[in-house]
Amino acid sequence: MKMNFKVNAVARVYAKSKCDNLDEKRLVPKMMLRRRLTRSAKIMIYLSDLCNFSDGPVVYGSAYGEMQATADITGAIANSQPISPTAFQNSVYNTAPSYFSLLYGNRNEILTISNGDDTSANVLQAAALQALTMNCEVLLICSEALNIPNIDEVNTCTDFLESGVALTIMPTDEMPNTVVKKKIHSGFVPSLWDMLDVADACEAQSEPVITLEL
Amino acid sequence: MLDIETLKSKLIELFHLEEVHVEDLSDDAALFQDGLGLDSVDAIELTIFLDNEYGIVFNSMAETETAFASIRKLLEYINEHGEL
Repeated sequence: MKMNFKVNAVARVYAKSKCDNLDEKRLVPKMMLRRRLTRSAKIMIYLSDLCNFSDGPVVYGSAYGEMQATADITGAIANSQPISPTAFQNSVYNTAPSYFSLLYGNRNEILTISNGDDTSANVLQAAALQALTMNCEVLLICSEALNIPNIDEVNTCTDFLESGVALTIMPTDEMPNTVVKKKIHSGFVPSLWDMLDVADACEAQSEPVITLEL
Repeated sequence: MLDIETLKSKLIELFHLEEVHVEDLSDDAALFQDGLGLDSVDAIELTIFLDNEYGIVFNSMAETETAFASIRKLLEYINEHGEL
């Protein structure tokens, strides 16, 4: 089934090593919360702010999840050290949207998806379904934060160790005015590509309406 | 002997207390609630830190409550029981 969706906002951020302007002091004024944020959480909060979204359903995706927290845990195990509870609680895939919800008191549904290179394609599908069933605006975010020590020894897939893309969509009866074309986004983690396709198409169009297959 | 400035510096680093400096912390500041504002996850983090850094393992809740009462109390506990 194909349905049409209005894309209300598009945002992206990326850097070869570390995104250095995520505005976290303004966005997360409480230091005791800010000190626990992972890189993915900071990227998510930054992108959601650019999309002017703080309350509503969220679909979040990441192929690799919380790499630094996971590395901290495996490093501790390898060295027979106790596992840090902070690393443990930050190691799950839904860490970023959870901090987002804590920050804004957002009690709406959150769905987290991880499916390798198809992650953002699945996020688009899930968010479309969510927007349709709830008839409201949904925030979609995919991000990767791979900048951990020694990553260069194993990284062969991306030039941008930190990257994220966000959209807000809502169902519409309007006809589509934007065609989304599949592209190769060299340098970006493939898990973001499908959402980058949508972002590229929508940034070039005023009040874009796209068709998504459910 | 561990000095209080060094301990404060270690606590700032351990708990990622951004924009907090050694001189901002009172010696008698409580570690939890109204003092530094640490929480239960931090309590476990601190327990692991004390074991790793100073070989301190608490034997009772009462010992923990005494040691964690303030920065000064923690310093006294480390200097009395830690492997320095």
